[in-house]
Amino acid sequence: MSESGVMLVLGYRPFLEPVSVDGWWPLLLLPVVLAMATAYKTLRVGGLRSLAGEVAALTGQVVGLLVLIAVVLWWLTR
Amino acid sequence: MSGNQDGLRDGHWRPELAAATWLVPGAGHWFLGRRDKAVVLFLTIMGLWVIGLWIGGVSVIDRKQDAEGARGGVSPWFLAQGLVGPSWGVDTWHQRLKGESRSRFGGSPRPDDKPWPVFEPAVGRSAEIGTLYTAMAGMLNLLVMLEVVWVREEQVEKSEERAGQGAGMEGAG
Repeated sequence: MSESGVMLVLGYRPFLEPVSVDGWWPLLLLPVVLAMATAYKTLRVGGLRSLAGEVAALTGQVVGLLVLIAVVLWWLTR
Repeated sequence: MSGNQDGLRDGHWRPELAAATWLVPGAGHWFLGRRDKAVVLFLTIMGLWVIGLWIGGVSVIDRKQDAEGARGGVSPWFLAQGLVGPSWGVDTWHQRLKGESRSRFGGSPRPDDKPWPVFEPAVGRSAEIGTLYTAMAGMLNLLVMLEVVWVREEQVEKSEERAGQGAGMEGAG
């Protein structure tokens, strides 16, 4: 790592300075959808045994729908 | 209040559980004896909130951000962020840092000034993602608060049963 890179890492102050997400911000959709699905399904299911499957299904549906909407909008505006 | 005068099923209003959930997401479920759900809800909501705060930094939680000039107004994002109790603490910290920054760069330099700024406000995607995550955590916490504020009779009985079992085990031990 270059000297300026080391200084950048050493000088970073978590929570006082933002993290740059410019190159990969669309991936940050996944944690938020996962959290929504987990909180919603935790309140809905009786026990937690079926939670993982239910969360995976809901996350897949939401992400799939968002991707579909993105493709349709891209196709309409290209 | 209990009974079904309003067409609701027999149950109890538990505002104290909603308040506990506001302060610590999942706490209401914990006190009802649903501890597995409490842990999942706490990790999910606080995880989202902390990640948002880490990405955007302290500046994404700002009660007065969009209300500059609007008398007594509150930032619309803070209406959602404030549904997680710790956001109020972070906002207080942020307002203090803003004041410190103003006095350092807007006024005369002070002997204890450091060579770096007090904090760096988030802009662009970092600000958007940080704000979205913390606001989403607040809205999810609202769902959890609504779940515990009205507890049906059978849930009360179950939680009392569990509490009794716990006390019995402690007594036996």
